[in-house]
Amino acid sequence: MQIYLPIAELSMNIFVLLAMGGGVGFLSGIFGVGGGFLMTPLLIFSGVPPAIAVASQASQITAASVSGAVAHWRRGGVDFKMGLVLIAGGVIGTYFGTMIFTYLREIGQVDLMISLAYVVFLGGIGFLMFIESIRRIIQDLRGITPKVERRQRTWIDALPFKMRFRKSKMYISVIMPLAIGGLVGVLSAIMGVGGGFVMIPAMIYLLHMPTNVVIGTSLLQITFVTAATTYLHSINTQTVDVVLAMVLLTAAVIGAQAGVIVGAKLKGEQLRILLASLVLIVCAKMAYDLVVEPKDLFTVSAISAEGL
Amino acid sequence: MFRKSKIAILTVAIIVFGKVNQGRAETLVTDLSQHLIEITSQFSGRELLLFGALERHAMESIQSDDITIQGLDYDIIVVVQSSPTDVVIRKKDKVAGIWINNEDQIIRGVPGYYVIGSTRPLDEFLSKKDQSELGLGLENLRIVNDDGEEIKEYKEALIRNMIEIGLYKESSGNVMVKDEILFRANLAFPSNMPVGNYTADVYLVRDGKVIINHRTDLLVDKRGLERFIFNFAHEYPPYYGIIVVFLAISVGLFTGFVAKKVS
Repeated sequence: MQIYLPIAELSMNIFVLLAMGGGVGFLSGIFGVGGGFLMTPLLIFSGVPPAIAVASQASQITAASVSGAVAHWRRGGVDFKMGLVLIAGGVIGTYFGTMIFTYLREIGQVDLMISLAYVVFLGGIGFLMFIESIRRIIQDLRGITPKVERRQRTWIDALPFKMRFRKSKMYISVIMPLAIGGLVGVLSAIMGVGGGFVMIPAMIYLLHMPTNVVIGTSLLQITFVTAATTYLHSINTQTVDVVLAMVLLTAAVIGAQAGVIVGAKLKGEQLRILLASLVLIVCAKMAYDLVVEPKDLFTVSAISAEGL
Repeated sequence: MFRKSKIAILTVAIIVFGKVNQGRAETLVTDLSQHLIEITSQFSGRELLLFGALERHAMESIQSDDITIQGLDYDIIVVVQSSPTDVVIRKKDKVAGIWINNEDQIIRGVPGYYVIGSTRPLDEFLSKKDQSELGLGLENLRIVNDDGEEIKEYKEALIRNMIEIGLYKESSGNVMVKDEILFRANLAFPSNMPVGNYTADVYLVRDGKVIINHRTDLLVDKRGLERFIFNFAHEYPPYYGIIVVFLAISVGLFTGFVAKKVS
């Protein structure tokens, strides 16, 4: 059965869309990620214009993150003050991200930017995760328990504008969380991702936040930042397809619930290595498409659809 | 005497039908099975029937009276196109090892949809010159940039890309003629057809000359919810954005709530 997408102006098979949404939701449930990094490329590969894929998809992550954020909040796993700082940074980042996006769309380079952003960020993060997982597995096999290192004082502690975060038991400069939030906001706007894969490592390794509040706080930030992304894309580019978004996110949130059940049965290290492989595959496909000579060197797009 | 009255009838017929060409009168009547294509949520393309008839009363009268006419063999060309639109064609080049859009041309006033069909291949019954003058066929589309130049590789690229996505098509043998009076052509529109005003032109060709042409209008428009969503998104972007976010949060919270109840 075909369903017409009024903003994308094309019709797609609704079962294909449901399967994509459900599948990505399932994987995101297993791994505890938003799934944007899978959904956006999948949509692009299946013929949805990249601008519409990125903008419509952000709302799927809002839906995927909000119930998680509420659940963590009930358990006391959200540092609201830190969350607010990250959201402030994120909204500013999203604002600039959509501006960059709009500009690049006008000069016809948005596809390139999406691909490059995916290759660089997914490649980098996937590679680090992969190495880390392999190291852990080897250590496990040898029976070595990783040493708990005492946190060193770094240049981050020397930054001004310090603020006390009671929940996280920290007294740090707001510059770093603002910057991290901002970077995640930009990524959300240009890649259609939640940015959890950047934020969680950054919160753990750069901010040294206690792990019990990391997930909840990042989910809170992702919920708000992807909501801001959806909103700003609606205003700036009019590329949010509500029909596409609703079909995908409904399937995704249901798939995610099933994924959570399966994920609970897998070991943490196995999960990480699987997720790293998945990230690297998507990255490799994006990189391959950039390097290999395209079937047709020319592309045609309607000017009205580009808002020129 | 008898013959004279026949000629008188013919004259009247000519006046009535008002189409005179080389002393013969013919009237072309064409229509579409539908003048409006509504794009709704289930839209997956549409088939329309373009049909018509050639009025030949006058000729038959002549024929019955043994006035020689040069047969009734004619050919029909059908052209369906959407109102002109502007496109940008981009060309990729290899820069620093990757393929990026490097050059572009803006082409204004090209049809977003162009399909031509005919009883036989065009070249068999119409000269290249006439085809070009009438703008018939993909290669005779006027595809020029803002400086009025036609750049061959961009033109070819546009046509190739549009054929690829099913919006341009050139074929022959798909206009059926019955009893040399009735003709019909099945038009299959793809789901990605642009919205807007379309025209369906029918050309009647005999002896290498277009003797009559007739135009029928077709409107392709989003209807119902599809039109509403599109308009709302473009006219009230802030509200549209808020509603999408609100829906997303509701679905997310609701599913979370249900999942908690179930487990």
